[in-house]
Amino acid sequence: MNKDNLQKQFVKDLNSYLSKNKEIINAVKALEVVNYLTTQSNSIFDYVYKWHSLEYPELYASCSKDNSKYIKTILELESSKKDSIMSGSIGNDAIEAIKSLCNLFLDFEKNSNKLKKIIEKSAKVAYPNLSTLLGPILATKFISQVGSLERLSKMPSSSLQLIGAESALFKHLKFGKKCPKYGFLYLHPIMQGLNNKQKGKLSRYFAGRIELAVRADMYTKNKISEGLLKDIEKKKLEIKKTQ
Amino acid sequence: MIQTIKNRTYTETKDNYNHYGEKVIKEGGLYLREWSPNNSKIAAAMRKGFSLKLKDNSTVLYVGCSTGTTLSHIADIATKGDIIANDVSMESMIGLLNLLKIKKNVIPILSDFRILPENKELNKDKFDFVFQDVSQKDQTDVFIELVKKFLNKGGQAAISLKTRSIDSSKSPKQVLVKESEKIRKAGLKILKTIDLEPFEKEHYFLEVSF
Ligand SMILES: C[S@@+](CC[C@H](N)C(=O)[O-])C[C@H]1O[C@@H](n2cnc3c(N)ncnc32)[C@H](O)[C@@H]1O
Repeated sequence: MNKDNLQKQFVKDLNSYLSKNKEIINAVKALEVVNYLTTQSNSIFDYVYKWHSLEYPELYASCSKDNSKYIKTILELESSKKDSIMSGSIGNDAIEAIKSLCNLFLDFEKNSNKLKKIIEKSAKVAYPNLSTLLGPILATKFISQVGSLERLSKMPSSSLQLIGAESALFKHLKFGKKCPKYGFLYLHPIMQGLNNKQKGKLSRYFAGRIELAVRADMYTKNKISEGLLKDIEKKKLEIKKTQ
Repeated sequence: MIQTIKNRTYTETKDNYNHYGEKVIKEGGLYLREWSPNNSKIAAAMRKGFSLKLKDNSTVLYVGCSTGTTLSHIADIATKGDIIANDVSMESMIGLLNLLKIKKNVIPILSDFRILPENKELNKDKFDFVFQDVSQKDQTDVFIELVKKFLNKGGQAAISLKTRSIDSSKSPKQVLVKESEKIRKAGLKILKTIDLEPFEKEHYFLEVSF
């Protein structure tokens, strides 16, 4: 064998795969990082809150429990020392440490937002229909859960409905627990205002539309999502009337 | 080299790396990477009586390497011989990239395993170990062809049969009987038949030679 030729061929295959799939690969990678940053910034937030609220417990509520606003407000309060409400009873060192944590939080948030832009952009190119139906983040979550758009396009809608509910499904099959009716779809804003039974019904319908969207993204490349979205809205109204 | 310590199997390597989250123990200047029967069919088969005859200068044809879980241990052992790593899915093979940097003797080939015999680059090559793990309906037929074309005299070949992928309407035993028959009819010997339970369900591991 000529090793050089084989190595070269593989590099060629790899590059062609990457350039064909770069949007999806980038979106999936970016989402992984976003998830990581979110977990990290949530715990940073917890530390800040538990520490800072010793001194100023009402601040969070006065920021309408908006985490990002809360963090920014702390920084504002603490940097204008003159009108500082803080009496300083937890001490300057603590305040300085809290300020660094706040900056870290904002840094994470900034990075996370940048990554979300990448996801949005990539999703629009590589799976515009799915992305319109689910939003770019949830759409990417679906793809990363099963590994590729192609695999997603081969799944029947009954499986699409349960993506994200794998562990509940496993418990159902193995231990006879209740069969799950929806997975990641429960995260979709359209599910708001429905009871569990209605959510189950809408999920089933929704999954059928997702199937069409994914196949269009994979094969025909037709833009069909606006129509699908309208179908789903209509179905929601129908379902809402049933109970 | 393979080592067994307290009923756990490891492959020894001078490379300090971790390929898929396996446990690594440092020992002298060497590293022992745990090779668990739960992660690898060859490791499972070894637990159940298969003995791998790989040497440092053995050449290997590994068909269905996926992200390289098992392959990485094979590469720890066969450090000098060429190792061909084949899979049809680039998605999976991307998982090999790190390993390829560490193990320069691993040569990846992206292709359907059915056309490996026609690969011009491999035309005249023979291998000391031919292993196939692809879970495809026609896997036995292709395996026979690969062994006949690529296995060295005195070499070792093995196949992992996923009976469900071959014929889900028949029982695993029935599938095994039929596939074994094919192998024998082709003039090859089956040296060992191993049921991979409890590590894998409905999988058989067959050791084959001329
Ligand atoms: C069960 S996995 C192999 C796991 C691997 N042997 C290990 O133990 O680490 C089966 C692999 O066969 C590959 N495969 C399926 N069809 C194939 C084909 N036609 N040609 C080559 N590889 C194929 C799949 O992409 C998959 O990665």
